[in-house]
Amino acid sequence: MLVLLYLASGVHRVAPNESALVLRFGKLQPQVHTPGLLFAWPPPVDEVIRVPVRSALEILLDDWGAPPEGSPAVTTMHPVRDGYTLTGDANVVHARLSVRYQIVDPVAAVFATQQREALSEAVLYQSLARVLARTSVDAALTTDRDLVRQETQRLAQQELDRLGLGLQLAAVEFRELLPARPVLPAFQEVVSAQVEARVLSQQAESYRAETLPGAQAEAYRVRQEAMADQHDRIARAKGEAQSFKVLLAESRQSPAVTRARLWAETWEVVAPKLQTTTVLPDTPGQLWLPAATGDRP
Amino acid sequence: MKQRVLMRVTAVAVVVLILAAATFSYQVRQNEHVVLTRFGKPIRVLAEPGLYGKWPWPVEMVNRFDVRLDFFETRLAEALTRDKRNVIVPVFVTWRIADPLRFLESLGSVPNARAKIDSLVTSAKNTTLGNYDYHQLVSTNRDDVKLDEIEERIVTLVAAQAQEDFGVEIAQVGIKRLALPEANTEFVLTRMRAEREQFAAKFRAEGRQAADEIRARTDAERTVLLAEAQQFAEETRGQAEADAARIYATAHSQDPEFYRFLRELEALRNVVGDNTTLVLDGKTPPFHHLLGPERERDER
Repeated sequence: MLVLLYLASGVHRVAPNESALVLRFGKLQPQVHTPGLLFAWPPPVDEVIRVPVRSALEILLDDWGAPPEGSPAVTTMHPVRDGYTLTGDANVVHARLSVRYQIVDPVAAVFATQQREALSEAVLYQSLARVLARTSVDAALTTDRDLVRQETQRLAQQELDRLGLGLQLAAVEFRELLPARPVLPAFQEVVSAQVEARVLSQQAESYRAETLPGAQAEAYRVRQEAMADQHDRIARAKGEAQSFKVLLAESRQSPAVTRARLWAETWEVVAPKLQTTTVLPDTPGQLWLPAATGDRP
Repeated sequence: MKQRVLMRVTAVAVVVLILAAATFSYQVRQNEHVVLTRFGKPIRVLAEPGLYGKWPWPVEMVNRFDVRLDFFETRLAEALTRDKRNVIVPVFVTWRIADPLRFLESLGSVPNARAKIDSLVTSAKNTTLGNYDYHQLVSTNRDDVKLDEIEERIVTLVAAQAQEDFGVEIAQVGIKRLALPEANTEFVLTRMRAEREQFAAKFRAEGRQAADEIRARTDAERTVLLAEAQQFAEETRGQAEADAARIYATAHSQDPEFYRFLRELEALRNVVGDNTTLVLDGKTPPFHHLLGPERERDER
């Protein structure tokens, strides 16, 4: 009975996300066992090591995180208390990373080091420090943020491969990347200055967008009016010339009649406008005034 | 009765066998090397994993060494660059036992080893940093930054000694971070703030300037547009006037005297206003009728 129980202790179940290695008398057996039941000899003959190869493993790197908001204001940064590193232009930055990785080589993962996580963490910090040390703070915080992330992953992977840890980095993400807490307001001020500058330009652009079409319309109107005036002026000149020709033709046929008629027409228009008409008689001293007409016997 | 005795004997035999196996044999695990000592004197180094036999304690002893990579961070300390800048460059070390026998003889245990390697690496680090300038640690010019070279040089400096004296292989020296002594950070923060203020002022000024330029350009373009239109209008009207004059001239030249007559009549219409008083002599038609028929007759 006891013997049976003892033998049964050599049976293992390998979970779906795992691979299993077997050490027989301490010596690694070449076969890597896939998920399912695994029949091994009971200890101390066989030792079964299960490795989570298909799990997405995660490390959070918080050593360089910024102190939480509302922590007491400081004017200096302590090298141990305040986690930070330097950028290429000697600015102090905080960073937090989250790193996802997978074990791709179970044998290497087990037999390369006992401190898989701690060593991987150190390598990631090393890579990030290296990349930031050659990047300006502006680039790191804005345009090259993604590049910094990718470079960090690439460098770290290279280093992990060199150490033979059998790990594959799946993703390196920034959970935080900030300038030193004491100067954060100054950095935010720059951002708002940029926004203000953009707003000013936009306002000027919209002034332009409003003004130019108005000016164009005004210029168009001025030209059109001038052209209309030109048309009118020539039409009027032609009309007047034409009526002169008509009159001239008439007057050539009967000069006296035409002239008399024209004179009379003019007189009819002019005469009513006259306030008084004074007629001087031939003989001096005799003056006929319209007012006096009624008194005449 | 006989059967019971047999069972007891078997049980005792099994226990004895297990005890014997435990004391007369040992395993070397895949990740280990073993140094076998007899009365404290090393007699065998076992690098191959498997099952081995030995004399029981206190004759022979098994000293196990994990030969996987070990990792630790060195103590934090200030260092001086070639251009006399104080920096804090924390490094970590990855190492493994390469020669278990020498390791056993010189250091014996991992904590011991870490302390020894720490001082070895720290002094190599200080020496190496003394050969590099500050801008080779941090610089925006990526070719200047020599962090990997510094790491390699530290490894080179300590590798031989670690191997020979301690039986230790230095796999990696990594610069984990770049920091400054606390006293220097106040200046750095002040400079950062000043730089930002400068940037903010510059952005504001540039924004204002760009906006002013756009406005000025817009106003100038508007002025030009309107002036051109005005000029066109005047030219057009002038041209029209000239054309009209030519048309009149062509027509009027047919009979200048008649034209003069018509113009005079028109002038008359225009000149006479509501307050005009006309003074005529009695002969002027049609007013000569006012003077009566006799007069008319006389005149005739």
